[in-house]
Amino acid sequence: MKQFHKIKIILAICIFALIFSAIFIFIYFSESIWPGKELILKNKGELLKMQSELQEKYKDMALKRRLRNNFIKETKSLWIEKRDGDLQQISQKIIENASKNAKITVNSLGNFSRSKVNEQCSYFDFSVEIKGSMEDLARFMIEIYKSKPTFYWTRCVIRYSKPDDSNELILSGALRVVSVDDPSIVSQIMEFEK
Amino acid sequence: MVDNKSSVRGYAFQLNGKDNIVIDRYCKNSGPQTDLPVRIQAAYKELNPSSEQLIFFSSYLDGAFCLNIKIPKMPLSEIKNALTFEMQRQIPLPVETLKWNFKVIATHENSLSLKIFLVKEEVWNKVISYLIDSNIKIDYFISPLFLLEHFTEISSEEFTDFFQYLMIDFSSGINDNDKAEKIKDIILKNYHFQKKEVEEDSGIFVAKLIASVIFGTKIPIRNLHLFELPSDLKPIRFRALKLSFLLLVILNLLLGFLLLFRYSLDARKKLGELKTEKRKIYTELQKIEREDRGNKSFDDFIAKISELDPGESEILPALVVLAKELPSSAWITSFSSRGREIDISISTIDETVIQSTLSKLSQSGEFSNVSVRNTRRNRDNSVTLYLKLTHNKN
Repeated sequence: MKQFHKIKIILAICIFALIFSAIFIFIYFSESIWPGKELILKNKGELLKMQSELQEKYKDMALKRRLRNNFIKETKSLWIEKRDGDLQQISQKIIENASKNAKITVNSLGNFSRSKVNEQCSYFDFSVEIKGSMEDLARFMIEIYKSKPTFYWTRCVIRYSKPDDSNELILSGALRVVSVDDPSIVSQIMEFEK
Repeated sequence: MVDNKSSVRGYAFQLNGKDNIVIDRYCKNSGPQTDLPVRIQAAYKELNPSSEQLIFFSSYLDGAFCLNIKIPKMPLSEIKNALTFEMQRQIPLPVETLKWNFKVIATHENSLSLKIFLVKEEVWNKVISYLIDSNIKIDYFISPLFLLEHFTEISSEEFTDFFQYLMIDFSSGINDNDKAEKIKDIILKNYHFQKKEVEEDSGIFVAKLIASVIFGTKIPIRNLHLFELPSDLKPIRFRALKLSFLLLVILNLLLGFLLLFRYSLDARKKLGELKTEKRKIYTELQKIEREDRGNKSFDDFIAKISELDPGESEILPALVVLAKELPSSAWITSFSSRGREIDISISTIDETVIQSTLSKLSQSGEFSNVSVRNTRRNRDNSVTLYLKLTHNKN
C-alpha cells in the first residue's frame, strides 16, 4: 500500500513538472510557436512602411539615374586632361580652326589662366579678339559653339572698329572652359563613357 | 449483521412502493474463516441480484468494538488529534495498531458525545484481502451502531442495548429481553416492518434496518461509511459512460489542439510570408543604399557642376533675337555681355519705335529685366538708347 502511494506521489510530481515545463516552454517560445494577432499586425505595419519607403527610394533612385545618364551624355562638354590632352594647345587649335572656317583673323589670343572652383573642378580662362563683318563673327561664334569642350563666354563686347565703318566689327571676349580635376570622378566618367 | 460463527449473510433489498422494503433474496453461508472469499462468492452467486437491488453482505468482524466518549466541545478538525490522546488513556492497546473512525452522535452545550468504531489493523487488512480475493466490488463499509442519529425515538444507550440483544439473538436465537422487544416494536411500527419477516432471523432485522435508513431517509450512504476502501475493492460504475466521456474529452482536446495547431500554422505561415517580404524589401533597400553610396561622390559632383555658372555658351541667339525684334529704323551700335547680363546701345531716327521695341524685347521670352539705362540725342538728330537686359537661360 505504501509503495503504491509512493508511485502515486512520484507520478503526480512528474505530471506537475511536465505541466510546469510545458507552460514555461509555451510562454518562452510563445511568439514563435504561437504568433499573436498583435505581432502579425505589427509586422504588417512595418511591411507597409518599408514598402512606401522602397517606393520613395525607387523614385529617388530613378531621378538620380536620369541625372547621371544626362550628365554622362554631356561629359564631352567638360575638359578632362586625361581624355582630351593639353587644354592650351587644343583650345588654340579650336580657335584657329574656327577663325579659319569663319574666314576671319584672330587679332589676339590671350594667356590661359587657371582658377580653382572647388576640389573637383577648375576654370581655364583666356581672352580672344577678332575682327570681321557681323556675318563672319556669327560664323566664328557658331564654330566655337559647336566645338567640344564647351567654351563659355564670360565677356563678349562687339563694337565698330571705326565709327564711320559699319561693316567692320571687333569682337573682344573672354572664354572659359570647365575642367574636371578629381581623379576618381575622371575615372568614373571614363568608365561610364565606355 | 454479524454473528460469531463467521457465517456470511447476503441480502438483496428492493423498494416496493414508498415505504415497503422487501427482501428479494436472502442467503446464509457458514464455514471456516479461511474459506471466506469462496463463501462470499458463493453467497453472491446465490443472491444473483438485479441492478435495482441494494445488496448487503454481513459477517462477524473479529476484534471490532465501539467506544462511547464524551469530550469538550471543539472544532471537528481537532477531534481526531484529541481522540488519539484520549484513546491511549482508555484502551489497553497501542492506538497505532488500530483502525478507527468516529461519529458525533450528540452535541451538548459544552461537550460532544462521540461513538468510535475500532478494529485491529491486522484484522481489517485480513478482511480486505479476503474481500479482494472474492472478486466482489464493495461501495461502503457500515457498522449498524452508526445508524443511531437516524432513530430519534430511541436513545443511544437503548440502541446499544438493543444491538447487544440482537447479537445474542444472532448466536442463540433466544428471545427473552422485554426492553429489547419494546424497542423492536417501536422500530417495527415506525418502519412498517412485518413481524414474521424479522422474527425468523435477527440478521435480517438489522439488514432491513440499514436498508430502511438508506431508502427511507435518503441520507447519502457515504455518511454511514466508516473506512476508506482500497481502490481494488471499489466497483467501477458507468464504465462505458466514463469511457465515452473520456473519449469525448480526448476527442475535444484533439479537435481543440488541431484547431490551435491549424491557427498556429496559419499565423506562422502569415508571419513567415510577412518576414520574407520584409527581408526582400530590406535587401532591395540595401542594394539601393549601396548604389547610392557608390555614386555619392559622383552625385555630389553633378550637383556642384549644375550649380556652376561659368558663362554663356550661346550668345548668337541673343543677337539674332535682338536683330529680329528691332525695326528697320533702328540699329545696334554696341553689344557687351558679362555672363547673362547684357548692355546694348540702340540708335534710331524714329523715336516712336522706342516704346514698341522695348515691349517686343520684354515679350520675346529671350530677355528679362529690360530697362533703359540712358538715352542720348545725337548731333544727327538720332537717339541712342542704352539698355540693360538679362539673357534668359534656356
